[in-house]
Amino acid sequence: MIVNKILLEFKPDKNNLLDAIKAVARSKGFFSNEDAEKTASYFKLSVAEVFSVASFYDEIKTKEPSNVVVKFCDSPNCQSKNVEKIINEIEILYRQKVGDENNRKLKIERMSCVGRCLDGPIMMVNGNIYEKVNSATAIDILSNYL
Amino acid sequence: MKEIKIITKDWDKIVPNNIESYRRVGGYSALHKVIRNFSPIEAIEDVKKSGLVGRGGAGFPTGKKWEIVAKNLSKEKYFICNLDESEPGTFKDRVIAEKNPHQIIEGIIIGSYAIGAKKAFIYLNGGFNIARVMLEQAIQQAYDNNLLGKSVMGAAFDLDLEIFFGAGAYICGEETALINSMEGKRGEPRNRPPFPCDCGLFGNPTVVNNGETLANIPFIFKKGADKFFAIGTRDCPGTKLFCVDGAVKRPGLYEAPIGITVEEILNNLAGGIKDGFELSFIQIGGASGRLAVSSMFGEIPSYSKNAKIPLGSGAVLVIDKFQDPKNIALSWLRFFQRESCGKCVPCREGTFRLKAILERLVNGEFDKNDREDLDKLIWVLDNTTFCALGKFSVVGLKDLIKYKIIEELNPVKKKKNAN
Repeated sequence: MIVNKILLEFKPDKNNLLDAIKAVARSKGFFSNEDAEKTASYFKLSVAEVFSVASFYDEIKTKEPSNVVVKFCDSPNCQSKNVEKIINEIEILYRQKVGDENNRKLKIERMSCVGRCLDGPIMMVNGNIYEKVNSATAIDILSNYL
Repeated sequence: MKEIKIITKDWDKIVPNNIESYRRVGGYSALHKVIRNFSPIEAIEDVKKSGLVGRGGAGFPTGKKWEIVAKNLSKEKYFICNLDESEPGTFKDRVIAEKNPHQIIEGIIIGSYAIGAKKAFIYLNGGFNIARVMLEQAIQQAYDNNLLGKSVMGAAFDLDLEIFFGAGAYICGEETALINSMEGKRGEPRNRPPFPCDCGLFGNPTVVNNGETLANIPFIFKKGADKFFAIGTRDCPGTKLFCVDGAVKRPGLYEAPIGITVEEILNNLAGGIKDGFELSFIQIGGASGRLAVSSMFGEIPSYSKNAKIPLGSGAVLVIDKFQDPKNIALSWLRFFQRESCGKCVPCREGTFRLKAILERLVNGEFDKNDREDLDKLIWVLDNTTFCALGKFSVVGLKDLIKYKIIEELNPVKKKKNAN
């Protein structure tokens, strides 16, 4: 029901599709198959068309995400500031690899540059950005979320 | 070297989200001049005379791009400012939008006037939250001051400016992918030709300009095209923002005229290598940029076709000898594999396989077959991909091999090099 309400805020033009998908995804954290069906019928598009757009972008999740998603920027700039060491320590501490989806509580991911290279390494937890992290502060910040 | 600044000149004198403080340093006087004294054709002539080239990476002459669209007789035309900056190591557009959003907006209005667009867009990276607030406020102020909306500054020229938010995709910085994304499609690049100048957003002629390019426009009209042409080199006049990072004493964002050598960027702008560190190589232009080793310090990074080091986005990453170049190479490929849009097979599969090979290299499992595959994959990515992303993914790796920075690739040769 809520999904339909959100969709009504947008004119059913195709150029509003991405904004509408983002709004739906924001309301519950991800964009499900049912959301895709509802959005498709509202915009008078095929479900495949809607879902192909939703699954294309990094910001939109098409599966229910873990409670806590921690991302580390691994672009060359953060790499030169030893982000790999932090990732390794987090992996060992929580006994899971980058990209593992089995843990409902936590997911570790790599992400692309967010343009804050001078304050790297950059860590993002549930959309909040933390700058100049090291192994100790990263573990500290993450434990506050879990 | 004399300090010449165009874009960053007034940053410490103004309040970013206050139109009055921008006006106090001469803001919107260029727009006033253009609308009062210039016909669109004259305005384009001036931009052409200034020699301004696009600052996004490709270096296409801005005046020429505007002229193609202006000459098109289509009724509906669009002007898009590309602020979907996501090249690793680059943060110039975000900082311009945060420090002086009106500078970009003034450039957009002048550009739209020149090409005859009634509708302009800013394609903003979805992650730039501060820049988003700044731009939204600045656009509102521009509407309130009759710089946007119906009959701008009393002239027979209407313009609407809207922000479109991306959702985190590197490829959407490519202009045709950006247009697809705005039309509500997957952000995959289109075949070119037709170029966006002929058939862009919703099939209408469209100009897509980088944010830094547009931030140069007010200066050209305020001080004159000749003055702009006198700065920098003959092929690429003007200044450039350099995002210097890595093992240097003063990492940061610097503005300098194009024509500055690699050594000057390193020593004059960034204060030289950090004490106790030894230089390995410098990458110029983000993750898709070429490498400069110490024998190339006299080279001038620029947008000119015969430049040995293309300037790209202006990111400068200094890597020291404590860093493992294999990790840096893996980081490039991880990035391009993640950001490959999946449209063409060579890029989708090639980046994935190359990443796997580099992972084996880092873990010490690199064997003879991998060595052969590596060369094949580099060739395929370099020559057969649909858009430039595939080509970009191997630029750095090719240079790493060419300058023998990764020596372990040929274990036999490694012993010889030790002498």
